[in-house]
Amino acid sequence: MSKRASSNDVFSGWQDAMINEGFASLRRMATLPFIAQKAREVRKGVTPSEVVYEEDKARLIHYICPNPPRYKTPLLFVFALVNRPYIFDLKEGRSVVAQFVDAGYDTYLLDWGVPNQAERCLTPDDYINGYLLNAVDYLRERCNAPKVSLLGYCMGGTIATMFTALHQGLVKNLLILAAGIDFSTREGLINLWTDEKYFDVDKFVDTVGNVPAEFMQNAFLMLKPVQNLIEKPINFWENCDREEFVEDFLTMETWLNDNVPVPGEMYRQWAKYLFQKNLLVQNKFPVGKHMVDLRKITCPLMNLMAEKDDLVPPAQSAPLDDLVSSKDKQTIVVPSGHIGLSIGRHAQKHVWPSVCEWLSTRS
Amino acid sequence: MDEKFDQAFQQAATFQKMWTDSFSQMAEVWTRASPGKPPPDVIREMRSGMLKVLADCWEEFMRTPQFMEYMKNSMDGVLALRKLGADMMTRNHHATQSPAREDIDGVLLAIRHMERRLLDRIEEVDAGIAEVGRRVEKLEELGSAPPPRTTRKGPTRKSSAQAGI
Repeated sequence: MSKRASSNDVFSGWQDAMINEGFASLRRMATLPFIAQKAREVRKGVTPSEVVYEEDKARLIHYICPNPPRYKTPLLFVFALVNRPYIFDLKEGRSVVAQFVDAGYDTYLLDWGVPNQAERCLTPDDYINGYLLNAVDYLRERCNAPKVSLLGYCMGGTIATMFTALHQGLVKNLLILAAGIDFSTREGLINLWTDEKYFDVDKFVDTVGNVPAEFMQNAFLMLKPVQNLIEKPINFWENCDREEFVEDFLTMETWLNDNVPVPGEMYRQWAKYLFQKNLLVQNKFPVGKHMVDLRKITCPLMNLMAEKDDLVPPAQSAPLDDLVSSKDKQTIVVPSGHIGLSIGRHAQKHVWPSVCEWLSTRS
Repeated sequence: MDEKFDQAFQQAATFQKMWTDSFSQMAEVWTRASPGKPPPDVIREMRSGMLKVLADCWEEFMRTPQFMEYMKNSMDGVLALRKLGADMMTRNHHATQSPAREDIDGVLLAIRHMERRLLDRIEEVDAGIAEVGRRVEKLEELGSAPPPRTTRKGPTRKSSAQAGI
């Protein structure tokens, strides 16, 4: 009797679950027609800003604070060339720039712009000793400050590091997030796939010119194919009737699918000299006529890494601490992925306030 | 021919191994399902277990030399096709006496080289001017310094009485 009662319980449990799931599916289907409209309403950047300097496609954006800045040294955000930089200012409650603006920093962001085929010959020298140097010079004059603080994310972190090594006299503090420095590690799939045995970067760039945005996007997608192609749509379907979830999802997807092409020569030198030959850690990475020597970096350094970063594993960023001559160094490893390092809840609640605190005594 | 066949066979075998490993490990996940939990939780637990197994198998497969060799061959094929298309378009443009992308790229490259040479020369001039400026500053510093005190040896002044006037 008890066995029959227990099997009846199991059967009714499954029956209830199926009925509930059926109603939930109907609820979700009812929200689907409105998703497209919500996707169109996604804002790219929420903190009030103005463009203060432009050079070719590059724009220097100033984030407006209602109060005068508390710190004299301006802070310049430098992002990668493969995505749009509004990840730093994604939405209310998920904005890195807002944290610094609210903390009293005079905050700027360098938007590299979207290159076309005419820009396919731009090299690291153009970006580092051209656009970035000119932006820094402009900031020093505008803010009447002898130096600036640089905050670089991902490829932007590597660019900021190279800039600091070449122009240490202009940089007061260097903060890097998930910046690729030592490419000898084979932890990340990207490092494996760009091995010179399997990837002829010269043939690739000579044929395509600028590296298409779709190529980069698909490469990132293939780092986690099951999560991106199966789990994500399932997760979306199960939560599409939750307003907050849909808003977060659409905001994130808008940015993730907003890749930009990379200038061909820039990509060639980056892939060859960093991923394939790992010249930066050998202090032999050429930027124009100069070699980047990391030992010339003496300013305070904050090195932030993401523990579960599949794009730039911590093993790729950590070696910087031993390669620079800075005495004042701090490393923070955040329990998140590559994107979560900047906009994740833990980062917003704990990491950025402590970074603001660290920078306040050095600005 | 044999080498290419061997390579293709290796790639297919690795791909097949990935799927057989995935299915066997997913079946293992099913056997570990906890019957005491309510149905939706059981389903979710099994689903996440299976997807994790699939993700791990794919990650392992994407690290194999066979997969990377396959990617390389695919890329080479796509680039060859693209180059063929570009060459055909160039020939068509030239046949109609209009500039092709290759020609525009050549012009851009020439401008780029000229820009580079000019910038290098400006950099040299800038360095030269800075050096001249440093030397001028140094000279100015030397010029503005007071001359050192020295005792003069010359005719001494005598009073008229001493002079017998």
